[in-house]
Parts: sequence; C-alpha cells; structure tokens
Amino acid sequence: MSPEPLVASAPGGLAAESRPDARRLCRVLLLAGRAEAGRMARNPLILASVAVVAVAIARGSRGQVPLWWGWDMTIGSWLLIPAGAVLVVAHLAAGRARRDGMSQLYESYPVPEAARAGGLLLGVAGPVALAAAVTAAATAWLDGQGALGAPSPVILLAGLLLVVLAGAVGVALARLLPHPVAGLLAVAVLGVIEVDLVVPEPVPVAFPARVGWLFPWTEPAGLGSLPGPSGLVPAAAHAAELAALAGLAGVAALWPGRRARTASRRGASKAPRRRAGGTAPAAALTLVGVGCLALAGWAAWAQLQPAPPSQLSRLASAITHPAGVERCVARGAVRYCAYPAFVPEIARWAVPVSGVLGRAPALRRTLVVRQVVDDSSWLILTIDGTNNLGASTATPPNAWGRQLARLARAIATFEDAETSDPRLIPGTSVPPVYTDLTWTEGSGLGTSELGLAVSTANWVTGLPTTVPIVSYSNSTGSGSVPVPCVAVGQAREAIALWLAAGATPAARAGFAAALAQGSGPTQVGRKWIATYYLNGSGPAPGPTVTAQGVALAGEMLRLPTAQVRAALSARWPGWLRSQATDAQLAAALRIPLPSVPPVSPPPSGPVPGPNGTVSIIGQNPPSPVCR
Amino acid sequence: VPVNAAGRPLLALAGPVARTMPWGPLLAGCAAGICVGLAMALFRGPTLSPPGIVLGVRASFVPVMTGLAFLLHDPHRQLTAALPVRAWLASAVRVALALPVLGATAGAEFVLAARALAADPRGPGAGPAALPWTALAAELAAWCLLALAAAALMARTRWHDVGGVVAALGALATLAVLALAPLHLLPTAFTDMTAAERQAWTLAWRLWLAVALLAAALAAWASRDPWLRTRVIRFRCRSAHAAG
Repeated sequence: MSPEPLVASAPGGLAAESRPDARRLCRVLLLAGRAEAGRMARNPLILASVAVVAVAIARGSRGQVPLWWGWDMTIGSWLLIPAGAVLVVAHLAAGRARRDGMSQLYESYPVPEAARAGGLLLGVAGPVALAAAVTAAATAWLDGQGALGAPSPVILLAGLLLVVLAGAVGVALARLLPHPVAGLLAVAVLGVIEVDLVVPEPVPVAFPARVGWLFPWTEPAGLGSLPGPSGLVPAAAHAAELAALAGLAGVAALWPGRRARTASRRGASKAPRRRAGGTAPAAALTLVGVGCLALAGWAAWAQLQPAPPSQLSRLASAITHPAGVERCVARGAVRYCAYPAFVPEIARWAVPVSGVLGRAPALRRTLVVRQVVDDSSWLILTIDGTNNLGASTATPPNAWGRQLARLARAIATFEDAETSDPRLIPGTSVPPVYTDLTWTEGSGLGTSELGLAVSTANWVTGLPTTVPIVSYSNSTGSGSVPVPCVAVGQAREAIALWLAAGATPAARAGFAAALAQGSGPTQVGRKWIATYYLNGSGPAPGPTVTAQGVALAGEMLRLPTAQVRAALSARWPGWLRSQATDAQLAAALRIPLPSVPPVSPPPSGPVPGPNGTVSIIGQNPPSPVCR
Repeated sequence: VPVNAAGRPLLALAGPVARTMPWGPLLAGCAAGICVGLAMALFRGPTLSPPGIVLGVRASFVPVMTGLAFLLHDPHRQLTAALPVRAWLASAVRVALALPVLGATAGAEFVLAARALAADPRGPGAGPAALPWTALAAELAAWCLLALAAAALMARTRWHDVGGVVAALGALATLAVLALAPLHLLPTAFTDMTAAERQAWTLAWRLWLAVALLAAALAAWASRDPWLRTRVIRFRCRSAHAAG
C-alpha cells in the first residue's frame, strides 16, 4: 500500500479530494516564503556579506568626489558578494529536507513539492530586502559625500536583480544537483569569472567586445573618466536579461519533478488534477519559460549591439568642444565653466582660486577656469564594455569601426593639444587655467587645491600653464617630450609660489608635502640647477620650479601677508616682468636672499645597477628660460 | 582489524574508505579548477601579463580547495567512530587517497599556466620566464591544508552535516584575511624581477609554508578521537568510582 492513502486517512490528514485549493495554496506559499525569508535574512553568511559590502563602499568612496555614472555600476559589482552568499544559502535551504532525511515526511504534507520550492523562491525576498537596504544606504552615503550626477535607477535595480537571480539559481540548482558542493562550486566558478570581468587589472581571460554584458555583471573601465552619463551601459537590456534568467531559474525550480508527474498520472483516473504536477501549472510554467527565454534572447542581442554612431559623436564632441556643452558660472571676477554634472563642484574649485586672487593685488582681467577631459584613453574599452586595460583598442574593419577610429583620433589629438596649445579652446583665459574630472578629498585635498592654485597663480603672474612638446634626438635616444620652461631667478616665480602655497591651509600642506619629496637637477640652457616638480591642474604636466624660487617663497610665507602684499602692490606690473629678479624681491621685502647649493648633473648613459643589471638613463633636451 | 600490526590497519581501511570517500566533490572541484586554467589558456587574449597568469593560477586553486573541504565529511561517522582504530587514521587514509588526484590537478594547472606564459609576447631582449613553481605549490598546499583543518574542526561540531560548506567558506575567509593583511603573501610579478621582488616571493612561500604547517597541525589535532568517546570513558570512570 502506498503511503498516500495512509496519510490521507490518518487523523488530521487530508483526503485527495480535499486537497488545498488555489487560495489555500497561496496562503501556504506565503507562509513558507515568510519563514524562509526570515531564515535567509538571518543567515550569518548573508549578514556578513552585506556588512562587507557596506564597509567596502564606505571605504572605497573616500578620498575623491564620487561620480554617479560610474558608482552605480560599482554598487552592483559589490552586490556580487551578497549574490554569491544568497546562491549558497538558497541551495542549502533547498537541500535541507534531503540533508536532514525529511524528504518522505515532506512528501506526506498536503501541499505539493512546488509549493515548497515556491516558498524558497519567495524566501529570497529576505536577502533582497537586505540588499535593497544596503543599496539605499550606499546611495545616501555617496550623496552625503557630494557625489556628482544622479544614480541610474535601472542600474541599481539590476544590482538587486543580481541577488534575485542568485537565489533562484540556488533553488533550481538544488533540484538538479542537491549536494552542497554544487552551490559552492557554482559560486567559485562564477566568482572567478566575475572577478575577471569586474576587477580592472590583471585580467586573466579576455572576452570579446561587449560579451561581458552576457554574464551576470561587468563593469567597463573608464566610466569614471567620462564627463557625464554616457549611455554606453545597456542598463535596461541587462536588467531585462537578469530578470529573464531569474524567471528561467524559477521555472526550473518549480517544474514538476518525476515523482509529482507520476503521482499526477496515477491520480488522473481517480481524482481531478489539482496538484502542481498537473497540466495547467505545467502549461503556465512552459509559457513563462518561453517568455523568459525570448526576453533573455532579446536582451542578449541588444547588449551585443555596438553603440550608435550618433551617440559616440555626441560623446566625442563633448570632449573635443567643451565650450559647446559646458555651463559657465560667474563668481566675482572669475568664470567657472564646467560640464553640467560637475557644476556643484565649482564651489570646491572656488576655494583655492579665490584664495590666490585674494592675496594678489586687484586685477583688471577676468579669469576663466575651464574643465577639460584629459584621460579618455579608456574610452574605446568603455565602448567595448570591457575592463581589460590591456585589451586591444583596435577598431573593427567596418563603417562603424572606421567612424570610431576617427573619433578616437580626434580625441587623442585634442588631448595632446591641451597640454601644449594655450589658445586651444575659445573663450578660455590665456594662459588657460584648466581643471579635470578628478578632485580628491580628505588627505588628497592639498594636492588638488595646490594644483589649481598653482595654475591660477601662474595665470596671475603671466607664467605659462601649458608645455610645448619638443622632438629631440641625442646620444641616449630620441622622441618627443614635453619641455617646460623654467623661470630661473625671476621674481614672478616666487610670487606665484607664495600666492599658491598660501591660498588655503590644504594648499600649504600640499606644498610642504611636494617639497618633502626632494629636489632634482634640471638643465636650463647650459647650466644645471636644482628644481622641484609640482602638480598643476588639468592635463598639462606640473611646472618645474627652481629651488631658489621655492626657498624665497618659503621665506615670504613666514612674513605677514599684509607686508608682502604691500611690497608687491607698490610695483605690481614691474614684478610680473621676467627681468624682475629674486634678489630685487628679497630686497623689497627686506629679507636676505636664501642661498641654494649648486647641483651636479645626473649620470647619463649606461649605469650599473644591483645584481649586475645595467640601466640606460636618457637625457631630455634642456629647458628654456621662461620669457 | 588487528590494531597492533604495523601498517595493517592502513591497508585494511584503504578499501572501505576509498569506497565511502566523497569522490564527487573532490573530483568536481579538481575538474572545475582545471577548467578555470583551461579557460585562461584558451581565452587569454592578445596580451596576458604575468600578474594575470598568476591571478589565473590562484583562481584555479579556489575550486580545488572548495572540493577538498568535503573530503573529511563522513555520513557514516556514528558507525566508523566505533572502529577499533584511532579516528585520525581514517582521515589520514582519505588524505592519502586524495593526494594523487590533487597532485595531478596541480600538475595540469601548472602546465596550462606555463602554456599561457609561453604564448605571452615578451619584449625583445627579455629573458626566458618561468613560473615560480615552488611558491605556487606552497600556496596550493597551504590553501588545501587550511580547508582540511577547517573541515576537521567542523566535523567535531554539531554542524558536521554542513561541515564541507562551512569549512570551504571558512578557509576562503581565512585566505581573504591573510591576503588583506600586510604580509604581502600574494606577489604577482615574476618576470624580470628586481632583488626586492625576488625576496618578496621567497618570503611569501616561506610564510605559506608556515601557514601550511600550522594548518596541518590543526587538522591533526582536530582529527583525533571525537569528544563523544572521551565523554563515554569519563562517564564510565565516574560510574566505576561511584560503584566502588
């Protein structure tokens, strides 16, 4: 005698005819789902993974102003950790009955196996709620950090769908491979693939262009190097793919097993089909499965399509013609021009700029601080949807590829010109004061503020902020290098350093940190002099300043600001001439001119190193004196 | 089983242990590890840097370690606990039986990594590059022994039925902590190494060896007779005292 009639006739048992109807089944499903959701949400592995995500996002976002068009993808990347935990936990939960030897008892329950699987699938809502909470907390945290732009709701939703997919796959996998190692190995193998797709470097396996989007998650390199949301992330298609895959996994989890189908066939002649193994649920599941398959197919096709040329042209134009898309805001005698998403950052730039201008005598010129893109070298990788920095940036030999190559060349030419051509962008001060897309906060604030302060001070004093590229050929090699001019012995160099280093407390700390790195010899004309290398702002390499100028600026910083300002105001136009010397400035300030020890030229040619190695030290062309 | 005859218990145990050993997880883990190495060799792309190769090799260790975490899971533990041999002997036999599989897997992974390295286009004048076999083998040994130690510890708890899962996750968490600690246990550059980089590899493999030894000691300690037997003996002793 089969156990079914025994159970049905037992006290409290249900006869086959009085099996639960759809409403009762729903209630059972909800109760089971609630219980499983609570269990999963309390699981130490899931709680630990969510805590790791929270800590990682909090730590990773410190130090620079977050850009939402890169950070929404990064949140999804971090959600891979809870997703892996959910897969393992859901797999273990689905195998609990078998592991505890309770399968036969469960089969005697008056609900079908599908109801238990459905309960497990609903139980994934617990970890998803935790993931949603951590996503919301991350969003609030990043907004509190002054993140620029706005997060894409579709990308954030896709991150949560990642967790849903992991839960559904865990439940479905437990039906196919119930051994606990199956869930763990699935997470290990998928985790290895995802690390390859998300971590920028090193990348062991190189996927073809845009193929990374077919996997649960990928994070293209260079999203944060773009001047705003680019539309290069196929967010909707990817969310659809994740939803479709989760649906397919759910169908696989709910699909009537062999035992249910046998029971259904056996009971077909005796009782109406009410179990989940009946025809109607199977048909509904088939329909849902086909729908999900179609959606997944469309999503895959959509994600493999290259970005439209018009979109790429708009992006390239925003980089090469910033004046056309930027918004300019006037603050006093300064116009700040920034990409629309970066307008809130103007308040940060204004601090060092106004600090410099406030120390200088009144000027009759208007300064324009212009934001430019100077690091779009990863643009093609972003378009290809890959994070492999070593991937080939060759474009495909078709019309789309040729247009992409043209745009990439135009951007590269523009970025080269940014460093050397002082009149590149119309409507910008000459010499230009550029700032780029990155602005560090916290311990790096001094570097950022000093860089912009140095560029501003160079504009005030008439020193160049761009560096010409010089082709050279000598005994140690040949090539093209930027060769900055050096204001040897010129008073305006010390004035510029005094203006920049004293602009803000952070800039002063950044100045001290730059000097702590030590000086090096630079050939100016035929002489070798001691110089320091400072960071500027924007694309041009920082200025090379003489140790003499640095020492004099250091002495000036020790004097009361009013005293220095009064001495400078007395003959301001004269100090800006290249003929005004450090000695004259020191005399005007009534301080002795600091002495700087002479330097010897560095070794050139083959230099023996450790372990018998020999390194060749090249020699750049000598720098000219600033005029 | 004659306990006092040297070597006899091992031989007598080998057959039954081999039949009841969880070969499935072990072989699945090893196969997955080889597949990861194979994927790196086949889809390595035009430029695969030495750090990328090392990362790939380490990634292929993860599934192996995961499968190994189930090695000590014994569904018949209540029965085998009553065998007239020390409890650690059965675990030692399992490890001994798994060693050839692990050795073959490690060999296959290293061969695949060497093939990927050989195909790497190196600059003109660059010397021949070889994987740091010793260091990577020490790493694999340490990872595997960490998994075994975690599995042996879990087998002594009431969560022994999910011991493999917890052991694998525990071992991975321990590895993550070790990797994040400022011990520089995971060097990557191995071509045209400077003296400092060479020293970093030497230091790393020595540290991994120390981790392996510690994990082996922990696994041996955790594989001794279960506490249940000790409790029974104590109970009997107490009963005897009470009767006396």
